[in-house]
Amino acid sequence: MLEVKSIYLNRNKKQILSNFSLTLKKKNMILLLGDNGVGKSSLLDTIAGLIKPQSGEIFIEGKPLKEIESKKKKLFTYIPHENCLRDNFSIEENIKIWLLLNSISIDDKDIFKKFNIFDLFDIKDQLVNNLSHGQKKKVTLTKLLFSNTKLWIMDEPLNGLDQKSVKVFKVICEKHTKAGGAILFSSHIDPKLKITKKITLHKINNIKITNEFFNKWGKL
Amino acid sequence: MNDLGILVRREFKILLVSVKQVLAYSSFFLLAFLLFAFSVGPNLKILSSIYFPILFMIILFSLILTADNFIDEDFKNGSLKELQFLGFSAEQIFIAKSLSMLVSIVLSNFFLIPLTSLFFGINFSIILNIFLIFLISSPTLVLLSLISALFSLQIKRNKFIQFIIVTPFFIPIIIFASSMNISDTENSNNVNFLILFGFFLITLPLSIIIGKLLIKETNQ
Repeated sequence: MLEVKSIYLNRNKKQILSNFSLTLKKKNMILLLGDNGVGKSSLLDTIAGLIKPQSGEIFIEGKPLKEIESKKKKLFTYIPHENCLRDNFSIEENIKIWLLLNSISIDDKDIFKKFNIFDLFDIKDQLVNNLSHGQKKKVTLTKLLFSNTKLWIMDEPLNGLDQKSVKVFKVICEKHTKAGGAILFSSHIDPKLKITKKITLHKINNIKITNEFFNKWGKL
Repeated sequence: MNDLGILVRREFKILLVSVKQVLAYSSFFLLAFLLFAFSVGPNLKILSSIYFPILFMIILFSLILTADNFIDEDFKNGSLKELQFLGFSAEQIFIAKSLSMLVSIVLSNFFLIPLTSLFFGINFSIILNIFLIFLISSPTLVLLSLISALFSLQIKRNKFIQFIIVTPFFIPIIIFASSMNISDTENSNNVNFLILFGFFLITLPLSIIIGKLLIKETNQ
């Protein structure tokens, strides 16, 4: 479903990925783990075609990313770490704009049904500006419920979510993989979900945290 | 519906809800005109003779100030990124934004130009001519101001450099638009009309190419 072959990626004149490869098959879920700034978001942006790597190739459903540029929305759904929501629009309006952009037509009744999954129905008319960080994240994740694609790519989807919503997210992911889908997502902490594979990213030339490292600080 | 149609629909939905854009433009426009009228004094002869150059200068500055609103929020909330990974080309995004900005500016000026011409004692019969000259020059001004807004995203929100880079390109439009004889647009000013239209034809492809590069650069 997704194949990343020998990616070399530089950001701000620093190499953050060196010869990175990954294969994601049907019914699999891969978690990218790593500290802040190791390049998780950059890697996902590269897979989504937003950043060009220095070298390496990405294949989705066996086709090179360059060839599917205009058909990307039919092949995978990407949820970046930004919320991609307009502050002066309500939850309902934001979701409807997302559906329009994805060329998905769906009845209002069905939309409202899916709002119940993350407890958004009662606040569907509220402006996004008035929502908390966690509520905005829920709105963003609700987009997955309308998605028709088999491949889901998510950047830090659990950031700011409460315990209940994490459980809901877990169920959604399990259902998707059972139905033949595949998921690649990143997190800086281990969310303890049923994951097929965990890939831990490290900073190139990372400083090891040892006693000597702390001693260098001196007295705080 | 094709991709450009979808994007244009999104932009117009945003325009309908975000009255802020139109209000910001209109309030700056009116305030600047009032200040000019007060600073010159009650002499209607002087006022009417400087109306046309002032009109274009104020349109120019209002455009530069409001162009940010059309780009900024999409950039901050990640929507600009979202549109790209959904497969919409940067050219389509730029064209859709230009269209929505053009409509908002033309509609605002439909009311603002007659209103401000009253302060300056302009004969009502030539207002249509003024509006015609504005119509032919505004697409070029809109394209240039959107480019300047995209530049300001690139150069880390330094408006000073934005003005320096883009303002020289506004000058020819201002010269040819404000040098037209507004009381007789049908006979003596055909050449100026053609020159203004020529500027638009040159600016359109160039700004689409530059806009595309700047939008792509925002992902880096």
